[in-house]
Amino acid sequence: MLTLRSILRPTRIVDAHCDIPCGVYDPEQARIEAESCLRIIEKHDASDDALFKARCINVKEERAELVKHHLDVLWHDYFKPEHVEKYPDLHDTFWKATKQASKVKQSLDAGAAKELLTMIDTIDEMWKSTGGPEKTRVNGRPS
Amino acid sequence: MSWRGLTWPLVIVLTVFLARRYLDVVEVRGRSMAPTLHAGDRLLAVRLRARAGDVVLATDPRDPRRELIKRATSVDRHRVRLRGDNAAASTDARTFGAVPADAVSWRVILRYWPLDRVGRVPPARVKEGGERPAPFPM
Repeated sequence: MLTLRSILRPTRIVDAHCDIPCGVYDPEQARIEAESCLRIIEKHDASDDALFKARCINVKEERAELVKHHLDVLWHDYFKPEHVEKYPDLHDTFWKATKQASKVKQSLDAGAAKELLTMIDTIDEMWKSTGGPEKTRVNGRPS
Repeated sequence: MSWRGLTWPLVIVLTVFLARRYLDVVEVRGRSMAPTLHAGDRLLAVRLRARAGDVVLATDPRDPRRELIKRATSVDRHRVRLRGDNAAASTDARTFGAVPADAVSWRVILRYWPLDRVGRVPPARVKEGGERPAPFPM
């Protein structure tokens, strides 16, 4: 029977793939870059060398962009619909964390960088409680 | 029975026939078209030649059983270059070069699912070499 439902249900799946999903995910990757941001802000504040300060800003922006990238990969690739059922605020948490990473990229506010670390830790808990360490790290996550 | 009574049934049969041949619905898998399209998005595609900037469906040059969704960034009579909007997570012309023009016969025009993102899938302004770069130094 030709119903609206049958017309709207796709039978063709089209691939928007990268060829190699390696399947290795860990919020630690984002956390290390975020820790770099915090340390760089501290070093920036302690220095009175204008050139060094400029380099700090440059590197911090690059690291903050990497935080966003790593969070995006976790969000898109690791987390699945069943995880959203378990954590209904998952999308909101990621959205806020990536926004926070933008804030760290834009500012020299050490408080913002610390807040970002807290947010990544929330994501880390979600990752751990959904079996992330066992499922995604080789031989489990080294502690 | 007069011929006049057959007009509407004929129109309907013809419409369904044409619709099935020239329209189709597809579902996206993967994230190489983010943020334009996400995994699970359902799209309406029309059997039309690609123009530069269109989101298109193309036969994977490395595995003809697979169909790719990418953006056509340059089109000439013989070849089409395909790129993912999310360059950091896309395997595309950078890896497999241009594909034959006849491998690209569907153009994506509309997203109808999820309901909060229903709308046209607009073509992008593209210039060769001016594709979206990776969002961080690689």
